[in-house]
Amino acid sequence: MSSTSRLPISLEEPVDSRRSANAIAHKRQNRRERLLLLLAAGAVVLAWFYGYFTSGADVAPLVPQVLPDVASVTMQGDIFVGSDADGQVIGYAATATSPGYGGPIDVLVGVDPTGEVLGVEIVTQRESPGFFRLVTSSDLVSEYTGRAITDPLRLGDDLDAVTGATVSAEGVSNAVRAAVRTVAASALDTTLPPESTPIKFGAPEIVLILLFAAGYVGHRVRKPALKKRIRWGTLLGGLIFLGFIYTAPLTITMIASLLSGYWPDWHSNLYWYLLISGILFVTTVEAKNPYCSWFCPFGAFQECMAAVSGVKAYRPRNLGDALKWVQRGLAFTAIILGLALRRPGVAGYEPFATLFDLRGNLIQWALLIIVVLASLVMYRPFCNYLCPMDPVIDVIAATRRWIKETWTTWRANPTIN
Amino acid sequence: MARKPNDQLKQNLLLVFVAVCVVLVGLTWADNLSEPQEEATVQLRGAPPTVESDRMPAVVVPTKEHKNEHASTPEAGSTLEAASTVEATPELTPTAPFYFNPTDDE
Repeated sequence: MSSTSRLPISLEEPVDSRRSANAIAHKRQNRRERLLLLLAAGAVVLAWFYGYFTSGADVAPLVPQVLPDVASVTMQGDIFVGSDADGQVIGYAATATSPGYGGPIDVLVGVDPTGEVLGVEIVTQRESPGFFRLVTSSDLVSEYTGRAITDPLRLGDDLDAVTGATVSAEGVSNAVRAAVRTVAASALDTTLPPESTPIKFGAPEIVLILLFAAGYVGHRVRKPALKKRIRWGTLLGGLIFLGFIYTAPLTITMIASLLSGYWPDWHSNLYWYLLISGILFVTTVEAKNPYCSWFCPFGAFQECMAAVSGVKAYRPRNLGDALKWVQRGLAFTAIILGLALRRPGVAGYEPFATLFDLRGNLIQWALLIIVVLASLVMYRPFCNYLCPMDPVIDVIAATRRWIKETWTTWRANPTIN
Repeated sequence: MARKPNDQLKQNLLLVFVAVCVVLVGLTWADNLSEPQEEATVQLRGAPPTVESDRMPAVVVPTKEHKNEHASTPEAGSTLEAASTVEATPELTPTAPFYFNPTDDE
């Protein structure tokens, strides 16, 4: 074999033929990826329908738990009426639903004929188990017992807030108030004053908007040194505020909730809407990822570790594609789990709360420690190989590209399509 | 030339890292799924903090299928005890309440 035969093929072939071979390969890969994207979308739709038609809980067996000493239960419209052995009505029970962090929280509330809350039962919830454990281990549920339906029954007012699980606790509190209102209106002929739902717009929302704005400006800056400075500024801002202070990073649970249709109440969860709509908007309109490299708090933490150890980005030559599919597989499985079980809370596996809230079980701590140690020898290992958000943003970007290409082709020659 | 073994070592370490993390992610999901969706939180005035399921009364009551998006299905039945017990129970209607004694089993 001559020495020239061992030369890379690119030197032996004419430029045109090489280009056309590359274009064909690229086209094939595009087609393959789009087919997979369609299959994944189909699986997501199937999981959604499966979850929709298989979820639900039987509330009736729980009625005796919120109406003590009940001997019989009948239904009047939407409420349960509990009577004692003599046929005397001893209380009423009603269910209500309110959005939590991972999805709706359903509660059953028992009220006696004088308007005193007898008991509260959480029927179903779709929260991340770690978060919801904080609610069940708090006194929140027991605090309702003995209160009058005319009481405010609000967190931070006459009820203690639950630190670390604010959204879940708000969900429980809102659902209990809604159930109490149902009983008051349907059984007790009591008109409660209308609910005021103030829009919660505070420091977290302002910080988020500022980070988006800084990221937008940073993307457009041409000078590398200035761009780098802005990026470090947003990264540290994300780490401190969205990470350690507010513990509100973007999670796969949010995406699973979004896809499930379990959207939280916008009045009290404006942050959720701002974060998700901001990312969707920038990714689809600007074709840029505004979050991961700019202000993701966990990414920022890993980047700080990389800066400390001086580790550089590393792209494994042979494993790159395979590992990309592992990451996509994790994201896909998480979404399918969240949708099929109608429990977005179970989908989450990111060790964000473990780092920023120092809360998690042994497995989550093990994952965090491994990622932290790996961050010293690898550049953003969680982001590059495990984080489910990267594939999600990739899918949005790929869909955008696909639509744009189809539109451009159609515009150029409408008869083809 | 010396970079090749180094690169191989890096790739192997990376593979081990990803494999271990994937196992931990799987365990996290398994742990999340093992958590009950329906909480057994029972808080009653003047009652023990929890009610055991075997103390639940044997009744048939109209099921209120509590689905966020679904309409309730009051005609469906819900059985709390063995089927034989259920058969002996009269059909529950809003005008004919079914009686049970929750303390019978105690």
